[in-house]
Amino acid sequence: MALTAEGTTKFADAKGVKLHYHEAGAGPVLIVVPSPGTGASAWGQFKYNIDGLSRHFRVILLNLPPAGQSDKTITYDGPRHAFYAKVLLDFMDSLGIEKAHFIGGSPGALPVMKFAIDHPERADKLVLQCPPMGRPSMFTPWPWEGSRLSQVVRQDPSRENVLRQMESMIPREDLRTEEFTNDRFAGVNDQETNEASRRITGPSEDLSPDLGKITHPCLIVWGLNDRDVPLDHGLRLAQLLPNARFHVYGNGIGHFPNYERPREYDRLVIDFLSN
Amino acid sequence: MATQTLTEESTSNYVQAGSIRLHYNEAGAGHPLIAIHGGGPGASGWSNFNVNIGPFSEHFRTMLMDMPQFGKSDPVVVDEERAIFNAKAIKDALDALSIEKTHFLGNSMGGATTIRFATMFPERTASVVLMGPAGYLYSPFTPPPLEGIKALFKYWEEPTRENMKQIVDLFIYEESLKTEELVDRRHNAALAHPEHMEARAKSSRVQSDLLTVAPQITARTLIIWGREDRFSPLDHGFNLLARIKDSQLHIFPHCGHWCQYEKADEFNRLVIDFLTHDD
Repeated sequence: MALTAEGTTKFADAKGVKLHYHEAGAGPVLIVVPSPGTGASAWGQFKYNIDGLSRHFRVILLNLPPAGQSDKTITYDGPRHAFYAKVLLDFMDSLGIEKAHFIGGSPGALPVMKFAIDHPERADKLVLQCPPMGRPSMFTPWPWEGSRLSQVVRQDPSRENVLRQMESMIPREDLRTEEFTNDRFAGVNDQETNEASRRITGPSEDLSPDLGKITHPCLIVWGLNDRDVPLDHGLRLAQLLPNARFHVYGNGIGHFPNYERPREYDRLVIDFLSN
Repeated sequence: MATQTLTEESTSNYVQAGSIRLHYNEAGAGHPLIAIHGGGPGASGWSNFNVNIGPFSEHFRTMLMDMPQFGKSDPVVVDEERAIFNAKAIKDALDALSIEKTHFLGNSMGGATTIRFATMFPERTASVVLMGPAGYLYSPFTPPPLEGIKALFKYWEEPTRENMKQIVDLFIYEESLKTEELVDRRHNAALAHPEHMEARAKSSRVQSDLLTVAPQITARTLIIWGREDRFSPLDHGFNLLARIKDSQLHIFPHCGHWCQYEKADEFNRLVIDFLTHDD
């Protein structure tokens, strides 16, 4: 019995901010926070895992504004992660969720970390999937290959440019499905979301000085062939966080381990969150 | 399912591996799994893996094998690169036991042995787990010899309890695990077999850079490291990950060179999951 986007769609009002999310399963709450930027929605990025994870947790796939059908009216130019961390807090309060595990997908992991810094008692365990930890990379000169391609796609989201970006993000051809590419293509061509993204302009704060405060058990996940966020960012995070395990998938895995190795990823995450 | 209480005595076995009599501790049924200990003084299969054999034996025919010149195996002189010598002995043991193919858990020297075995006898190798493997000559970030290795050499030159305490202090991360009892046990185990020390003194000291052969490994491989390992450098883990095609790397925080002991529960679950699935 597969879950569907429509069947799991819900809406919340987080102190005036409309949030679109998907919910399935019962048990401890697990909030999945993918990138709020342009690209596939929360469902598009994590539909591959919601079946497996919802057998053990009350899973919430959250669209941070303006992703999915979440609020597209916000104009904001302050610190980005603090803003989204507040959205998380208001979201949890609106649903009466006291405490939750989190999965943060790439840039989505940054507000998750900020949330754990600012509201430690509201976060249980954290899964942090290839978050960019600011510049520089110890080995990869800026701009990174993925950043360059993202810029190209932002300027011209043609099918050809999206395909080029997909080849870089998911290097293994056998793992790159039409479905994943189509979801991404639709996402980067969603004019309403793109326009709304351009109104959230604030800087990305450097969380490094406060990472030592995150004493929660963390699991950092990366693909060895990630060309969007260099691997050394994960190692740096593993050294700066007091209590983080670091798992790297080889064998050609790129920027979406939850999609590229779904069954292994599900088991790794379920084991980490359950023990 | 309750785990029977396994003891060193109740699991003790011997096999004639060619000209070498090898001792091993065995428990459980199912797919064979061989665990190979590290090369420190007083090391043996049981001393390295006694908190793992129980859970593993619920899924695998688990064998903790004492390498030549260790534990209750023969105190033979090793006349070539130790990892190659060990791999050949293991192959002879598998033949004697009529075991076609086996999983491997290799810790430190055992990891180097496993890498050699997987490249010399790929058809006898199922899945591979390497814990802080040896077999490196160079490290860009932590110049060899590492502190822990220096402490090992100091003990071999002068096997005193104080020098063993030094080793234990560098070996494990958590202070509470560095017990006097552990120091005594390892020191006494080393002293109990002077014949191993004598054979060691006459043995080859040849070491190779196994990064040169790692790309030949076709087996599924899980590489595990303690973030605070002072015996095998962390960058070696990344070097192996980049060279072994079907591999993964898992780093435990607050963990030294004995991850299967320091993080026993997490380690057991992670490795059993890896060995019982192929996706």
